[in-house]
Amino acid sequence: MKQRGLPFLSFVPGLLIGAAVTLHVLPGIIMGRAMDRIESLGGDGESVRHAPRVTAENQTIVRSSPDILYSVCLFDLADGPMRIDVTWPADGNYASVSFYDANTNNFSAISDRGVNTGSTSLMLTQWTEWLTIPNLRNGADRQVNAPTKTGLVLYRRVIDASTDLDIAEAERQGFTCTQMADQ
Amino acid sequence: MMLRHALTFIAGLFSGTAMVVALVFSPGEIGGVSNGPWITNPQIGSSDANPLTRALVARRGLLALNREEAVYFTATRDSQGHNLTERCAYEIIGQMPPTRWWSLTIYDEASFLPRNGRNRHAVSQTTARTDASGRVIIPVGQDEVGAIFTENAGLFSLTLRLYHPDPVVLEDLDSLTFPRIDRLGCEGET
Repeated sequence: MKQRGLPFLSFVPGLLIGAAVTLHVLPGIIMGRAMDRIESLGGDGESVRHAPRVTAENQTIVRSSPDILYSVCLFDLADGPMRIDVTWPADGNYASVSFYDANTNNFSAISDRGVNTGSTSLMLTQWTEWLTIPNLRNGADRQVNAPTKTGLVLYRRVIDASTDLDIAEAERQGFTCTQMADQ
Repeated sequence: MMLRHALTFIAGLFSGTAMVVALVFSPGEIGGVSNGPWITNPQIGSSDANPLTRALVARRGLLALNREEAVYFTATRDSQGHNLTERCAYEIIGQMPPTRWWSLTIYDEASFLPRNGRNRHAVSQTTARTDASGRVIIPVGQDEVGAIFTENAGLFSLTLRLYHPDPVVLEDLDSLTFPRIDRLGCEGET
């Protein structure tokens, strides 16, 4: 009886450790694959990819919305902070810039509702840099501290039946991501 | 004896890994709190999400916003509890929760827009039909303007996005009335 029970005592810790480690690393793997897919699609300008309106034929990310215009840039803060500029819609529709770390967490978001001006500039820095140099804003309106070195920044903008798509397209060109020189 | 323990431990590791992968990649939804057929998880997009929720969101709702920006409700069943399937036609009818803007989108079992040659995957606040009392009416499964087309969707889900929802959506979900999902009929039914 004792001899049959002993192997079970080794199996259960293995099961728990295997499950815990997999749960911990899986989001990072899925995020990494998504970032690779986005990177392989190339970008307009320096680093931003302004994706075409989502259809069944061009979708790359699960549960994308055809009612949203998406633009995305990847970040790697090992090369220094990144400056992000965004122009908000003039027609009053929802728009936001959201930040995702390498583990898929949406660690920060700013939307048109939270600002009083037509455009906003942000400086994205590494959390570890913030610990040693609290203010790295460099003239930007806001500073955002990333918990991981890599991740992505996503611009969303609602397009509805009355949206002038040419104007919406021109406005989202105001979403730019610029890698700053290493500080 | 040591070798036997080591092999059993390794078997446990593989089993734990396989169990989690099967759970995360299964067709099931993320789960959470519900109002009728509409289910949401307050931890979507949050850094406070537990490891299982984070993994499920990474698989089925990658790049979701946190709840201050948007709340996502998903329905995989109609109001009578039957799975949503392309074999049936539905009508969504009722009041949408108070929010700045909403949209409703169909996804197939792999969480992608179904490929069917139509661009009728979504209806929004500005495109939905309403009746005299302000109730939203959205046909699902019909091939007509203002409807959500379901061909090639298989067993599908509907995601309701609420951008900048009113605080009551976050604080007192049970007090709200969501639209019903009524099944009108199915293929082969007389």
